[in-house]
Amino acid sequence: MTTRLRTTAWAAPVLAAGLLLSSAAAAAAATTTALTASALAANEAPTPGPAGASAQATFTVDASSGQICYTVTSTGLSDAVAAHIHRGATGTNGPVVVPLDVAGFNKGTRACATATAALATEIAADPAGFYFNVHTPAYSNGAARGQLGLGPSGVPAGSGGLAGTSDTTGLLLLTLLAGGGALTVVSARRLLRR
Amino acid sequence: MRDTRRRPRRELAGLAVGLCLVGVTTPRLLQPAAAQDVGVVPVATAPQADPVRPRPVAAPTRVVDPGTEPARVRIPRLGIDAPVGAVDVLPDGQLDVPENASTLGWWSGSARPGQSGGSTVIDGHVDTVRQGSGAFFALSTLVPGDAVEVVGRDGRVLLYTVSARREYAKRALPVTEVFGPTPQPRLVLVTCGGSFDSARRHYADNVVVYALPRT
Repeated sequence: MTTRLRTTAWAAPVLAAGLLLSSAAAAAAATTTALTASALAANEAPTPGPAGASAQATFTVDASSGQICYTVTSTGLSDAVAAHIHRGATGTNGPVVVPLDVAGFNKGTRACATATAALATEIAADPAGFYFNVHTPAYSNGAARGQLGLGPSGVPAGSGGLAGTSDTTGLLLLTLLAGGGALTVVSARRLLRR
Repeated sequence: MRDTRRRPRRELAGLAVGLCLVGVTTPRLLQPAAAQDVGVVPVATAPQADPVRPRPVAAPTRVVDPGTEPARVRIPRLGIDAPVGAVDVLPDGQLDVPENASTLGWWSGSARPGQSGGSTVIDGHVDTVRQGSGAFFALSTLVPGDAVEVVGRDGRVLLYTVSARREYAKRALPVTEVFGPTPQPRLVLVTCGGSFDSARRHYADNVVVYALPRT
């Protein structure tokens, strides 16, 4: 009985430490690619769009299913009638490959379009080969345009370690807590058994 | 006989040490690694379209503010007054942060301050190995109501009020909430925080402060 209790007292902190380490090791694997586009009136060629018009878009491209979800906000494009992803590098105009719905513009809502998995894979692998643009009645050939680009997936903004807490401190505290708890329980049970 | 007198003393000592350990470590563990999240993140709060008013047939002639690239960020309460340069997304998907820890970075793919909508994203180091504390060292102490000023390259000063602060685990960063375009203009300030892995020189979290134009 005494031996078993001793084992429990040591097992608790070891188990706690193991759990903490395994949860820290589990990292979320990304299955989608985040892309962005900043469309400007001046980027439209040969005729620029209305002065000051712009649109910001973020895309989440799932290369395996072909689903492309997007959020768009625009400035000076309240009469937008169409928006697309076109094939074409900077400075070249190309065909529409993914039509987008302008109804969700400036509503903060995500809309989704479905492309073939092959096209979605291509867009995710080479976003600079595609562009996002917005059309209005007065600028039917395009009012604002921007190349697709990789969107940020994170911000590595620190390496000094002056701010925040240390992982090892947390682990040590947790181990001490578990050990202290186990010691309390074991001692109390032995006292009560008498 | 001797045995039974000695044993309770040992157990009482064990009990005392155990309780002490629990008592000392619990408050430290319960204490948050950083200040807790505060305020409401301004996202996806769209102005409702007026169904009665018909759409204008022709686009109305109105002046559209193209915004301005940010040149400086000032946060008076924290004594922050830092220059801002443009940064881009790196090939690995991470948003670049200026090498100089006392300089801030405006993501050139995000909205320009002064535009009628969109997120203006500005990042900065909390600290670096060589330079010590960075421009955003105290960002995690901002609270809703604090004032933030952005000086544009065109010379105008845009005033913002902090509306929320969040700390997100980097491995589960809600990229749309942080970087996504919003119907209303907002300022998004980003740095690092949370627990620090000294072997990898890596913080586990991003501290994000959201601010709205002062009305």
